[in-house]
Amino acid sequence: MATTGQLSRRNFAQLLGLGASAALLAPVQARGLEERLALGGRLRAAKLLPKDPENLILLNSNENPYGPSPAALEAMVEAHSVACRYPDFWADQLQEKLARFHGVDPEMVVVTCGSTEVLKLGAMAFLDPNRRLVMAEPTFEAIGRYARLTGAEIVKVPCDAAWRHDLEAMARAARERPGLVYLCNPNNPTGTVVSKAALEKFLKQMPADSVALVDEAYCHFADDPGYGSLLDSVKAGGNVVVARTFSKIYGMAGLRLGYAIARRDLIERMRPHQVMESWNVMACAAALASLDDREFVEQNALGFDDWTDSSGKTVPGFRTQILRNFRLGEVAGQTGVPAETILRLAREFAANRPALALGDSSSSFQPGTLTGSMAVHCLNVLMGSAGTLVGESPSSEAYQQIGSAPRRKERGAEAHPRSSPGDLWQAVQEGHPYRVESLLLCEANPSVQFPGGSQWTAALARVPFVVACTSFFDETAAIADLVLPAPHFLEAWDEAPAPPGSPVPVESLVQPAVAPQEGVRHPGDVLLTLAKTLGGNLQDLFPDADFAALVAAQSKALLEQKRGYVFAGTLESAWYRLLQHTGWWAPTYASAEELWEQMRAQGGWWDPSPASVARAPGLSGSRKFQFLPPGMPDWPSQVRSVGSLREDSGSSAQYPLVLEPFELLPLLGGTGAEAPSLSQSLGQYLGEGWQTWAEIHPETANRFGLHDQQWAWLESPHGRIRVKVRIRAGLHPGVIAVPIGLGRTHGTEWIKGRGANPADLLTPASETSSPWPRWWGERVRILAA
Amino acid sequence: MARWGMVIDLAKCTACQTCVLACQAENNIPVATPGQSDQGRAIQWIRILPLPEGENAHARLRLLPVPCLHCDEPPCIKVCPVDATNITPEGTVRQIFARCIGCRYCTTACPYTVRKFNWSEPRWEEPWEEMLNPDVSIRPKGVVEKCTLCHHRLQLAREQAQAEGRTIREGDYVPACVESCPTEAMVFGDLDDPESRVTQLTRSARAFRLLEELGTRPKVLYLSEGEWSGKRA
Repeated sequence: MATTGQLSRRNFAQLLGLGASAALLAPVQARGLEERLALGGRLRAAKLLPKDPENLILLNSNENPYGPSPAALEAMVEAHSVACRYPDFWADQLQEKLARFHGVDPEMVVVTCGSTEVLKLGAMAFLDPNRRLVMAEPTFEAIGRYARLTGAEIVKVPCDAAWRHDLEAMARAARERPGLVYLCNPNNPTGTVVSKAALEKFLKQMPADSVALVDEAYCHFADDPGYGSLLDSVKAGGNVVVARTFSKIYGMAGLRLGYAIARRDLIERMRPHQVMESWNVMACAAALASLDDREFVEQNALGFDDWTDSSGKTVPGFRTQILRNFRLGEVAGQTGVPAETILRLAREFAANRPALALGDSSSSFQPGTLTGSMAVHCLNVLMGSAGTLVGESPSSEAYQQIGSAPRRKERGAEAHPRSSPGDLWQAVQEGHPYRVESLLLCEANPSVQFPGGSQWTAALARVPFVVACTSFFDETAAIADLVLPAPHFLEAWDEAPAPPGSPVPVESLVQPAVAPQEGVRHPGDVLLTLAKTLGGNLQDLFPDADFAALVAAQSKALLEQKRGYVFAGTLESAWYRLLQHTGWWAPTYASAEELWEQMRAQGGWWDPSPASVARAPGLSGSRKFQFLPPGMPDWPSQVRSVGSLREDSGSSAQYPLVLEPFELLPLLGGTGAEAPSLSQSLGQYLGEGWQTWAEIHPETANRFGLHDQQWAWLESPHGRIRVKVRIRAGLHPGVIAVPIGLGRTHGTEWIKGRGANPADLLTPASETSSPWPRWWGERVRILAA
Repeated sequence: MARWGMVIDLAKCTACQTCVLACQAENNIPVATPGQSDQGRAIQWIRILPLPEGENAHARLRLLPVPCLHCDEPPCIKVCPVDATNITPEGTVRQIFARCIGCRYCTTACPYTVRKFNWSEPRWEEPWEEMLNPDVSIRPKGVVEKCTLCHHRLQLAREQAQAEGRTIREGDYVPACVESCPTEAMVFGDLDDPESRVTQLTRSARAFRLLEELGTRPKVLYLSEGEWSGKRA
């Protein structure tokens, strides 16, 4: 390895014998190959001082011949007018934009004078005469110069035969007098890469009080599939500093701009060594323009543009699908929101940063629950807000799991085929895939809660043995062979994982607020007892003594995660978040028992760290956001059809109105009418309670000769209900809105026979993109009663 | 002496009705039967007042939680022939059920229609009576009732303060509606204390009183919602 001692970036080409380390190549627009070679032949690299520097490509410096992007050039021209200013404002802006770009906190970024300054800061902050710098040989040598100033020992570890970093040897060297390890990846000047996995393994072997500085100046040029940035290790709280530059891919070598990303405490140790106000306004302006949103999307997401699949076919990307399916005029027509309002909202949303799109809470009573949430996610990705607050949503299955706390493996679930809630009735009626001998329903009342409930009634009639676990005597209990009174949720233990789409994992605990009345038994206890009685495999799968013990066992699974915190007040939460950002985890508990006690006292557990988003199960390996996740490649087109009519709805001539069943706040999920205080105040905005009304637009009322507070029949091809007409100007003409939750045939005098159930106007159907029953898209007519 | 008042921020209120339910449970207000509701005889001490505006795409629905506004110049007390309703030194408009003869002059006089007459005997089915609040008396048929700013809580707080040898101060008590509000849209406190949060909020440019032109000077004020800033209800 005698040669490696002399191999450096400046003489690398000489070593290769080309004698053209500063080959004079004209930028793209000019000279032919022959001329370039001739020029190259005439020059002697080490001594070259070009007379015509503008036309040179200095290969040894790896400058970008294309130069800054047009946007960056424009921004620099504009920045002339602020040349009289100190650069803080622009540097701060750049720091924030970089943070957003990489999905970290601004405090984790330091903007420097080229990435070379990062090397200097690293050496100054993490080295002293008692510490050691470990670097490869050959590698970018700048850090060695700064390390020498600190008096630190410099250990150069020769690259392996393939000119890659010899990580094992470097790890050995790093063990003594731990200080700083410099890893240039891809390596300059050898152009080799070490895989992300190998580096991560290397980091684990490093002593705790040493820091790895990863120079990723050339990261954009690495196409090795194993290559990956160590930003993930930074986000996970590792002792890693990632250095980046605007000199290479952004073509701004002369502007001297780079940056480092690391844990806050590491950044704070580096910052004091920086020259104050070392940034240049124009460089910052150019960088701000370079980091455009388009690039953010390209770097962090897949499927935005059209692409060509393996068979050579062009597949429409997200943008094409949106443009095709949502023409402004059509959307305005469908929604009734004027085009200028939509345009204004879009402009305001795009122009104001940071901007965050928020969706309606998930409700199976609204069309397009899943696609709606995905649309919200996409907006946030486009605005650069994804990953900070809203998480990622790469596939429909993973979407359901994002934010859910780590759970014990579902036990024995794979052995039993499941049907979706929307079409289970059919499976039961048809006895497919097997005849249902007995059916246990826990707090479920499908005959009333699902559209076309009569099909459910018929399905239940075919089951020889129906058991209803319920806290109220409802319609299902009335036809069940066995009724097991269950505790009300105020009397029972339960787990409440985070709702789909939650940005961080949350596990809330539902605890009994009052002692159970009347000797009721939790359905969970019933199932556990059944498992024990049946013995064998089932007994092994469910060893818990009772349901409360099963819930308590979750704390063991959470403890094993070695992350997250018990719920706490605002200040404490902020403190934990800060700790977690800087890589610390200081739990308030040491054992599963302690964790359980604290969860009981505080109500639950959560993991506030941004890295937890990346750990969400089901995320694609690349961690890139997928606009069109596998399995739903054309979901934007489905959004268009979610509001479409049902196949079996009546003709528009006979049934001119469209039914919109909706949830009321007091009766979320269409349940809760058993509580008289809720039934009394169902629609306070109309002064309505106890009965079912239909909201219609004044024009519609006129057309059908109806007046406010009048009783009327609402008819579909499948049934009819009696409703009270309420006129509301806020409604879309042609739509008739009816609340869900009343129209019960069993129960106490407070609910029995009160109001009507719009489910009676429907046949059972499922939403196209989710397993939930479909409530919308039925045509109806209204007649005075 | 404190002068109790409340500010309700409509930008924070989601009209979830938690205050309505909390008030009902706290003050032993029986649930009206559907029949009573139909006759407009349901009793609520705080209700959600809807104020719809505009048409479909431009439609807005403002929802105001309205308890008794505890006016400094309450029209209701002037018409009571038996002094069953009057204003306490702390500014609370109180109702003395035992003295009320049920003439309902006060329900007519109140411009905010917050006073309710008991048209029937209060009824709680078994086992509901187990939920009754022992600190609040049940109103018989034939009397008028309304929000007391959870007077029973004030009494308990005052006793506690006396036991500690001090006068009652802000924060010693809040009414059930304020306590239950999930968005903390309701702020309660001493309007005579210039430093109190509630006083400072009353000085906001967004603050307004319902039907201010009547000169009733309510001690329950509202902060308007974003776009209606500065506009009166």
